[in-house]
Amino acid sequence: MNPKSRWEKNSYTAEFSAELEHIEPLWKEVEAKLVARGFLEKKIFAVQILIREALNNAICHGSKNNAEKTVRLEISIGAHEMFITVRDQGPGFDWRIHMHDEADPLLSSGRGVGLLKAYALQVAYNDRGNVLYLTLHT
Amino acid sequence: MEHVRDGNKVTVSPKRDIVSICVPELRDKLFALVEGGTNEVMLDLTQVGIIDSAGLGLLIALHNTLEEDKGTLEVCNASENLVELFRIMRLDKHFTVR
Repeated sequence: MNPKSRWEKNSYTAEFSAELEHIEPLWKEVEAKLVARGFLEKKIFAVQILIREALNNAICHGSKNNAEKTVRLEISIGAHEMFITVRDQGPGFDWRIHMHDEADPLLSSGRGVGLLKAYALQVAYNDRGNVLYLTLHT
Repeated sequence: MEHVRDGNKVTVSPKRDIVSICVPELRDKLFALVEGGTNEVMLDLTQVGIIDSAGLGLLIALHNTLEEDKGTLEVCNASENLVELFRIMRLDKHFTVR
């Protein structure tokens, strides 16, 4: 499914098939708006880390790289905070197990939630674990 | 990805961000170098803007493999953002980041 995306004022929505190849062009659309809004480079980097991580997880873990499944990205930019929501159509996962994990830095996997927590003000999931909510200062 | 060999040491210069979609190809190239006898890798990040968790996982796997053979992984020309990322993920304690 080709991505459907748009900015409307300070809100962005994108729906696309669960394939990694869609991340790059979608990020470019988001980045362009952040640059136009005067976001500092360090903040843009943080947003990119979060969006890439959230989409990677939704595609690879939530959707098992199944191109027949859809991932939805929503971004809302407020005066002081930005909200990012990523939904996948997968069964979810028990996020409670991972929320307090301190990843061993030398394990070659398992650092996704750690990255989210490092760069976001707040990380939360719905009960099922297939919707991720991120908040960060703008 | 370019690489320059100097004995057992290889300097590797990826030409793009190290993110999930390109990690499999980069993994194959990096580990082909290791299997070819390299045990010192310098990763030049001049042209790398961002590394996601898949990319970090690859660097860690490479570090662990090199360390088993008493080799080393070093990273150079990392941007301030990437240096900070390595620090946040505590990787700067395990391989040299310049």
